Amino acid sequence: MTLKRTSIHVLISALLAISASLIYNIIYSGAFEVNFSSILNSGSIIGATMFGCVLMGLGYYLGYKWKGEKILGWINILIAVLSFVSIVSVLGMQLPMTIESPEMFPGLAIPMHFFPALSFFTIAPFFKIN
Amino acid sequence: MKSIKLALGALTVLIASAFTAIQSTNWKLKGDAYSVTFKGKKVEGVIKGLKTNISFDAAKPENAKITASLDVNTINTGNGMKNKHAKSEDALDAKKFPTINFESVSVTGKGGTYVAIGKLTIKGVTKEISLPFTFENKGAESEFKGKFTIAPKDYTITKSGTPETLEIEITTPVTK
Repeated sequence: MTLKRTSIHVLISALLAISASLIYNIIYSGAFEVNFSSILNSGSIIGATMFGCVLMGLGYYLGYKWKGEKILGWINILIAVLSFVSIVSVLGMQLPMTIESPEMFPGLAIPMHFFPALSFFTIAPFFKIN
Repeated sequence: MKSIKLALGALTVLIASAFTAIQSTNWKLKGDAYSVTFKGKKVEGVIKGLKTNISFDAAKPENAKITASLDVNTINTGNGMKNKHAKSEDALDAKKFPTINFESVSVTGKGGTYVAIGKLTIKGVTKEISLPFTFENKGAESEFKGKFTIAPKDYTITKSGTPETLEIEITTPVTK
C-alpha cells in the first residue's frame, strides 16, 4: 500500500461522500421544509467529510505499514464503531434557539456521519494491494 | 330647577372623572418581535405563542390589567430530545395543559419600574407570583420587560433533570 494509492482512495471516497451528503441535504431540507444551513452547509459538509476520509486513509496506511493487510479488518471495525459513536454528539447537540424544529436535525445529520465510511468501504476493493 | 341642573352637572363631572380614573391604554403585541426565554441549570430555551391583553397606563399603574398566555407546544430548547422531555407528562404535560397563563391582580410602581402581582398557571397549578417589570414609553410603540424566577417543583414539574429554579425573561414590544 503506497501513500499515493491511499491518497487517491481518500480523495475519491471523500468526493463520493460529499456528493451523497449534499444531495441528501437538498432532498431532506426540501421534503421536510427545514433549514439548518446555519449549522450544516456546503462548507461544513465538505470540511467534515474530508476530515473523516483523511483520518480513515491515515488509519489504513499506518495500520498496513505496522501490521500488514490482516489489520485492515480491525481498522474497518474501528471505523464503523467510531462512526456509530459519533451520532451521540448529534443527539446531544444544542442548536441556536432561532432554529425551529431541532428534533428534525438528527434525521439530517446522522446519516451523513455514515457516508464517509460507506464510500470508503465501497471503493476499498479497487485499491486492494494485490 | 337650578338645583336639578346643579345635580346633573355634578353627576356628569363625577361620571366623567370616574371614567378618566379607570381608563388605561390598551397595548397590542408588535407582531412576533417579543421574546420569552427561560434559563436554569443545564437548560435554556424559548417559548412562543404569546397572546396578551394589556391595559396599562404608566401614570396610573394601579388601574392596569394584564393577561398573557403562552403555547407550551412551541417550547424550544435547541435540542429535539429536550423539547420532547419538556412537553412530556411529568414535565409540562403539553397535551393536557397546552397553555401557560398569567393574570395580574394588582400593579404598583412608578417611574418606569413596576411590579405586577398575579396568578401564574402552569400545568394546571396556579400560584401567586411577583413579576417586576419595566415599561419604556416610546409613544405609540413602547416596550415591557420583565424578569422573574419560578420553582418548577411548585407546579408539579418533577421530571429528573429539571432545574431547581428557572429564570424567565420577557421582552414585549407593543403598539397602541
